Amino acid sequence: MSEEHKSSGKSRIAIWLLAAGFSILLIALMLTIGGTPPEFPRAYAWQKSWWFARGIFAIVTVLPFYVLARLAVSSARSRAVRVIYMAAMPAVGAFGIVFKSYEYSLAMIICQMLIICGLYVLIRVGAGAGRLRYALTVAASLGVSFIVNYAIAPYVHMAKPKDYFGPEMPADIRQQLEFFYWVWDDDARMKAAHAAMRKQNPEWDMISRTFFAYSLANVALKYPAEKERALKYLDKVIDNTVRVPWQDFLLDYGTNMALFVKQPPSSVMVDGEVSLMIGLRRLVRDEPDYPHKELHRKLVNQCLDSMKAGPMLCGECYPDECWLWCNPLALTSAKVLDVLEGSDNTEFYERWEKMALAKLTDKKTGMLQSAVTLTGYPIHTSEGSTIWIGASCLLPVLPDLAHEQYNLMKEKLSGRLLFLAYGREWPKGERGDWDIDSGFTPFGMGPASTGFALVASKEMGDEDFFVRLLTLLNLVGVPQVENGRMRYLSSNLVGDATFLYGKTAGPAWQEIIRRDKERRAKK
Amino acid sequence: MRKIWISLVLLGVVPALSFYVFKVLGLTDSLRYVSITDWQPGKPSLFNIACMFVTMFAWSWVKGWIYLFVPAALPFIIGDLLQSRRAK
Repeated sequence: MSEEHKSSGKSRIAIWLLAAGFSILLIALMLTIGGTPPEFPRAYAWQKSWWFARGIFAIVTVLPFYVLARLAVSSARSRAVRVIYMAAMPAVGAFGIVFKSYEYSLAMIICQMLIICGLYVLIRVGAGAGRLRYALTVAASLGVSFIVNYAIAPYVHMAKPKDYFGPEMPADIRQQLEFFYWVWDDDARMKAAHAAMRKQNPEWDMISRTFFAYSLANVALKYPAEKERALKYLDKVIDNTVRVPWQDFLLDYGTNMALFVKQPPSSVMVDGEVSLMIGLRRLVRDEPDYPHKELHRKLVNQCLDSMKAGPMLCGECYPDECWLWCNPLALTSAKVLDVLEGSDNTEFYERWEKMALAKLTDKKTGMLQSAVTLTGYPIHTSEGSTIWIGASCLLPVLPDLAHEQYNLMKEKLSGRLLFLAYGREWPKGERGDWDIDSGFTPFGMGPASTGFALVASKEMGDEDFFVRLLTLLNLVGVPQVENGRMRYLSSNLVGDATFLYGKTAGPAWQEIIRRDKERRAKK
Repeated sequence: MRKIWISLVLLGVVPALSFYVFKVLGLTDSLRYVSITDWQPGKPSLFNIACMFVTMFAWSWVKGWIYLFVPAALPFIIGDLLQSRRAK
């Protein structure tokens, strides 16, 4: 056998190995990005086989790699083949679309573009016999490095549950608090920060305040050394927020008061969030002369009146729109008033639970709808940017329903990426339209859903899910600390407030549950 | 072999360090446009969008790719050291 023939034979083996290796990497990426088999439709019996479908993908991807790799060595034709292959990739991607999996097709196209570039570079570098050996060694070294990183990444990069579920305040909560204290220390700075939120979405102005306030209440309850400082800023936030006309927190389409079905108009969204803010403050410390007690009672009663008047026991947040973030939150706010002042709305809570199970859940998934009309017609089906908060707010009021909804959401509105977890905006296999609440949803991941899932997981004490979500947020959020103050650079004020609330959530709900048990035991 | 490990180390470290250079230059502010709801008419500019992608790319090196390339250089560093000793 001539030397040239031997060399050509070795090149063929090397190219096959490279092609197979990259295909395995592609399949591994698809498995980790994609998730579970139900993405594939079940129109034909052969499509029901998970391994058969994946096998088809493997053949479809290995063959073009092999052809390109073989021809890349022959430089005269490599450019033409590369162009043809690049043009063919959308066709391969369309294969995913045919299977109604836009996420896979997009992921596959991106993976293939990365892999084909890497493969081409390796093949060209390794065109000479000696250099091919080095190229293979580099590829092998990178492969081993990848495998080692894959194995140890969960232990090295993942957040530690004891930091957030233990008694000591972790550094990032301290740093985030310092950032928000800094914002609220200067009136002009605070106004500018909230004006920037209001410009994008007036609701975000409100949620930046309320989520910061809920975080402060949780911090005051859990970390005694921080209690006085947290209360000082909590009072500042409340005093400033109650002076803002409630209509200013609504999007434009909600500011025509005449369109509200219930008159005089009120928004369960605003009344619920603001009243919960005041209620949690009173939960931490309830002075006899606390100035906002009357307002607290008024807002809670407004929520309850609005909900009781509605055919679905839900109140309007916007004209003829009842959101299942705001209505469960209003129930929790009412519960806080119950434990503080001895009222009892248990009968209403139980009626609400029956109504929710009968009329407010999606028939297909069993999850709460995101928004319904007053008569119960779904406006937005189950969306991660809404119902994670709804489910977590039910915990102190209707714990069984809260757990049931949370478990359903974990199953249908979350995903895994390697050792990380994310929230989905829509259930697997479904797709809605991006809006101001959902944000951009690459590969089905919902940034808002992920942040709110963080809150829900912490409230539910789900340590494993919480740390996986937090680790992802710390990766894509780009947290940076400057002068002891932490911000997430790819987020904004409401995002930062959500992450802080997610990290600190838990003590307030536990306090409500504890006090409720105590007063029931006394009766 | 020396060229290989130096290339791998540089491939891991330089993009990661560039993130901190961008931070000093204030270019990391463009990351807020990752949330497309922050987009207004005329903002972000093409320059902001380019900065956003480059900064996110550099951040992915800080948190991920540096841990792939730098350890991959280890066998070549060891090989280079052994080669140098044999040459002596």
